[in-house]
Amino acid sequence: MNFKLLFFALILSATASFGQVVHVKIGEKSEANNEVELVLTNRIQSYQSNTSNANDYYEPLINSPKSVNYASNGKKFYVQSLEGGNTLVFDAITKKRIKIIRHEFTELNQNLFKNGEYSVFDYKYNVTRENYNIFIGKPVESCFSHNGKYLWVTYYRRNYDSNASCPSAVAIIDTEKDEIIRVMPTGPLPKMIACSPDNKSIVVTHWGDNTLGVIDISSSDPNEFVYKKHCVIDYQMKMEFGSGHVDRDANCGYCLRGTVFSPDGQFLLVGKMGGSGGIAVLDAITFELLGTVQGMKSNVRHLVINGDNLFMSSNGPGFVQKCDYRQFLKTRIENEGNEINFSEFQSANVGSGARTIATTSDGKYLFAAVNNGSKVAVVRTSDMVVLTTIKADSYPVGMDISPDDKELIVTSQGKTGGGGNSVMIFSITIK
Amino acid sequence: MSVRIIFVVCLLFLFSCGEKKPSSQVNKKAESVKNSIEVSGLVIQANMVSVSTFLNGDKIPFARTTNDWKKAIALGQPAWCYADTLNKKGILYNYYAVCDKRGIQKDENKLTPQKAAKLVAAKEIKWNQFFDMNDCAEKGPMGNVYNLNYLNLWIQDTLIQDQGKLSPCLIIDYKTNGISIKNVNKGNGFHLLDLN
Repeated sequence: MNFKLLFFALILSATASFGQVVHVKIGEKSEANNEVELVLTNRIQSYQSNTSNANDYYEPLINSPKSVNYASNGKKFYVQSLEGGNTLVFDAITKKRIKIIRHEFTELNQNLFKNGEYSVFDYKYNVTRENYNIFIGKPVESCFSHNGKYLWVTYYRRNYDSNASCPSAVAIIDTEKDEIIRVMPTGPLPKMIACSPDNKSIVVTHWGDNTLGVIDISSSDPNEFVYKKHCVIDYQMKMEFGSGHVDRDANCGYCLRGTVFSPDGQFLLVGKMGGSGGIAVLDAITFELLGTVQGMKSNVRHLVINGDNLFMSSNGPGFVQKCDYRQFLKTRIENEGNEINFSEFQSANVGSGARTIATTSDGKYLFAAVNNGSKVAVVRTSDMVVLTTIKADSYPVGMDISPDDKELIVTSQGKTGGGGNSVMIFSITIK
Repeated sequence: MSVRIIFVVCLLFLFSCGEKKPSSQVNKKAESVKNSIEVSGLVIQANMVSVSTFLNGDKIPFARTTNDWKKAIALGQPAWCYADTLNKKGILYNYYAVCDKRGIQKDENKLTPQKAAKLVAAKEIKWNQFFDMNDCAEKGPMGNVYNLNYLNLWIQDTLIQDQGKLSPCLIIDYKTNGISIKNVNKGNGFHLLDLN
């Protein structure tokens, strides 16, 4: 009897901690409004093989999809299947998988590592292996360079580095062949990655230790790409974790994430999700740290610049905010001190767990993946009003909008206890 | 006779060349960036002040490096630098140079708070058709030069000198033509407007 009660209590507690798993039906529509409508038209998922709708595709390789990027021409999209160790390429029209890019490195493909390079900036491994470049990478985020010719995919960690405290890596994919052409080492736990507007620099943001790696990509030959700077945001976090397991999602110093260049290429902005928060600003020519700007909501996660607006999501508080990016930067450069304050933000409360954000190409509408509420929120940016929301599969996290603003793709990460593991495609109708 | 014919042909050729030359191209610079403009009774020169000496002939210290610039600010001393170091164009002054008693401009040419207020009150002026975007360069207290498309002009008034770290500045948004007055760090490198 006692055993039964205990079992029941455990089930209840598990349900409470993970919340109710949400699986939305194809055809789900956003709440009615006069401006924007979202409809779930297609889904690619790995939780149900026997689907009742032809537009609900079972794809067993979807394993905790973290992010998604449309190709520059809009003809295909790339899903980073984090736990699966794959980048999955889908046709944007048919939504069918057209390629699997496997991030597994064996004795057979060591040619991808130029001169066998396995570390950078003198980062050390805390494990001993015969060949550090034999591993499975966990793809997390990506960005394009050279006008879409190359896709750069960061690995959260190498599979043998359980605490994500060793050097990781970034794969360079030729998007014509959709094949990895080179793998470069990175610092620990790289997440966000951004390309400068002039296609001269790639910045890899290390969530793991408050640093950034800057790669010179001015050559047209990927073999010539070379690290040129290691930037420290205030201090480099020491990773003295001992032998036990460490939650690196929480033990990450400033937990650097959102990374965006200003459109004129003069500045680099990096969101500090942890510590005292704020947004670090760097000179994007010298990659010298100019300091941090405070004043926005805490737990800044994702950054987007569109037109004159800087948009940001604040994960815990559940807000998206906007400000004039020129005013923001002007305030930073005209004032002394490591931390300065800026207060001219407009905010919209979208609900706790505001993860990735994306804007329409004209910047009039912003979409936010709201992880805790299993929904996508649509914000009108002129007055930062939440226009509507639509239900999404549990744990929405990544998103991208098609270049023609007709479709929004949202990834739902998998979690222990169920939920997630889907890629949802919503049609966007702007009335 | 043949010499006369050749002379006439040459003249015709020269005139025909002159006719083909598009006047809009010849005067493009002059049309897009005017030499002066009158706003609310103030005549503003399009070219910013670009002197490296005070009115008495003393040299204003030149900040060659970012360290020179930062050092001058830390000591509260005058300094100037180029807005465009590569081409040695445009001069930015810190406020310690602007408020130095030796003066950079004659009083009648200074942008005083009263004159600045007049410019702010003047509506619908297309400032960006008058000034050059390169005039929007500014140098922060940390010594780096950026251009965020704002024209930053020191306001000078003997009454407000040496009061704290801030000093007023007239800011014109080159994108929107918006104009405002703001207190900014004296360690910034801004332009000086020439008007009367």
